[in-house]
Amino acid sequence: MPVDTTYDYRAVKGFALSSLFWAVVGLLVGILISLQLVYPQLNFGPWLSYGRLRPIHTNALIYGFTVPAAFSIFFFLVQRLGRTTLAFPGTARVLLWVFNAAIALAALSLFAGMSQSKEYSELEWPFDIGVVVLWVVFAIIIIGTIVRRKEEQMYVSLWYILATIVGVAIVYIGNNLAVPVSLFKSYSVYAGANDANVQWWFGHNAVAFVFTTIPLAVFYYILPKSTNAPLYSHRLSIIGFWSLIFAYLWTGAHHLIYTPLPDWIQTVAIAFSIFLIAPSWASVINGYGTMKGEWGQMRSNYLVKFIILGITFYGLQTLQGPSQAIRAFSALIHYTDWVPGHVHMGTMGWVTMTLSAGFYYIFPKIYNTELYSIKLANLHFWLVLVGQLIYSVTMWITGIAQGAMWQATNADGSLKYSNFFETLTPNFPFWNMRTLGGIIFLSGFIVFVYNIIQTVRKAPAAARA
Amino acid sequence: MTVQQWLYFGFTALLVAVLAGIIVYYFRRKRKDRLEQPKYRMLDDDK
Amino acid sequence: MNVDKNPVIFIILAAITILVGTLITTFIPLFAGITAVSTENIRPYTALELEGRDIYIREGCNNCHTQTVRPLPFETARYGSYSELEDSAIDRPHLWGSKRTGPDLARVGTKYPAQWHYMHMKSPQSMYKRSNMPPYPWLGDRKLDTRYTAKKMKVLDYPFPGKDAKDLDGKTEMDALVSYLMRLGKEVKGTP
Repeated sequence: MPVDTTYDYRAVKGFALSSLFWAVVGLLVGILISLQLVYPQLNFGPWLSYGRLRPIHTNALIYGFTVPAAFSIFFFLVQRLGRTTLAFPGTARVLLWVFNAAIALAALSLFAGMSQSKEYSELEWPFDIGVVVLWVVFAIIIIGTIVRRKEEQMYVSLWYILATIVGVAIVYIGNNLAVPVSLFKSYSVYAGANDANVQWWFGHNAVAFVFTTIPLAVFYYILPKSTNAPLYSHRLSIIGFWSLIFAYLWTGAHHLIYTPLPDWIQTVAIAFSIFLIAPSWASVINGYGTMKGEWGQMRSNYLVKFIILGITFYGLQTLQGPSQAIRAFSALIHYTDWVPGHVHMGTMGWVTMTLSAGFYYIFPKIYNTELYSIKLANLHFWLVLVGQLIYSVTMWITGIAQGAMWQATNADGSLKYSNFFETLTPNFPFWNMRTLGGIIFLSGFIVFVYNIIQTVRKAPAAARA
Repeated sequence: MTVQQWLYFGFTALLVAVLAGIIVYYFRRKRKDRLEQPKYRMLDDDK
Repeated sequence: MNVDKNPVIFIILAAITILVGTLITTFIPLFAGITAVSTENIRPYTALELEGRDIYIREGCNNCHTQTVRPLPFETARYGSYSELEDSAIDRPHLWGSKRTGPDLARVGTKYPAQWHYMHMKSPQSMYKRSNMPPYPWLGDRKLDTRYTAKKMKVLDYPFPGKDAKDLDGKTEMDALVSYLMRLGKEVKGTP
């Protein structure tokens, strides 16, 4: 007799809708900065110049979209997988309002130029303390719910949720240790090469515990549930999980190849980056394996396209990453547009598609209704896919071109393109193509948001509380 | 081989041994059902 | 002992697994001082240079500029001697950067006279028609805010003699930023 529990979805709904709002904000800023790279006259005064907008783009999409989307889907997941109701539901709703207020204030501080300059952790020290406190509250709600679960054995999604909690806490605190000078300014406790090493230990593990374990938790739940096919191998996911969260922490220094950081730290990072292919592909194999005999659902079930393309992009991402970490290739592509091309295949391809699948799956359930339009969902899929591919492919092309131009020498050994501008201006047409890709992606995302809002609007009044 | 090379080799061997141990432990036949059970249980209707 | 049945044990085990890589690649080297170099022949930042560096951070210049010349022939040919630990040993935070939309700046102090920077920062397009660098004309109009300078120098443990304090009077944000840019690449071990 299934346990009759009334799940508490108010925080789930709140975080889902607010994450969609910040996603659109982050994407709009992304398109503006993409245009600014070719048309500098679009830098309007201090507050809207590229230098201040780029951190807003990254922080809005990491802490404004991905993290709240994770809060939303995780609050849903821990209840369903634990067959219990959410612990501290009141606190969860307070967390919703405080978190969104903090995001708005954080964005304001970045507009004003408050920055610690360290990528993906630019927020000044008062916000760092705020984020840590809010993260602890989130952890208490999740762990509180898991501890009182009725289902004794924890499914793999719950492991990835717990890893997200532990991982983000460790790397965020580690990288944001700073000595305040005023309310608006602080200096890192680390200096020079150590500061760089700690920053990219954080940088790549923000990727690990925000852009990998969060979508993996969603993927491992939504794929079996939406296809009604059992996961290919739960034991394979055990091996994949533990080796992933072990190996990821070694790889930060692949962002610092050929820098003054000691060589052995770089080499160890390269070695573990290559090793990471195995645990990453454990999840990819699990994805494809689960679809054995079910591939017809790629046509019949609109949701499966998102999940399978998501895990495919994850597979490509985790092959491309290790290959560009090797010194020979890093010498060519480091500091070029190849890297944003790689980043956006992961964020636009893997993370956004998987989170979208998560929302498509949970919204009809939390609002007790049907999805507004499957045709719109398919339109969303194709726009997002095409937009993302245009973005990444153009960036790879122009990244390699620029990297090669930086290296090109004449017969006598002198630099062929000694003037930096000769290597900059050829990027402009490709950057315009990237803006086009971004606009297509955004239009797809807006179709998604419209579809979700119409789904909510047609829900029975009771469910809309 | 210098001490450092031995350390490097020893550490790598340790990692391989730990990984092999985990794989053998989790893929032992007698644990198969308990460890694969969650993937079926999560499919059961949880309303 | 079934790890996947007990969340508390699971969290502890996950934390330990995460801390192994953390300690060996990042914090043990840091405390073992393997990146430590003698800093006595590195000239600390003057107050004006430090305030200029904070403006570089505030305007997010490291989003488009790097400060790391790699030990590769085409890099040293383009930018000058490759970066070493000494170049950033006293930098808190480091500004190595990760994207070269614009050129690397690690040795820019040895490349242009200060006057070039004043004109270029005001309007990059006036000097390079197709430059995509944002213009910063308003930096020249803003008086340097030195309320926290003394505290900054103390926190960073840089000497702050009276001469430096007087040097700040009447300076604009542009003066500070240019003085910082003019320092880049000058303190390198061995360059004349």
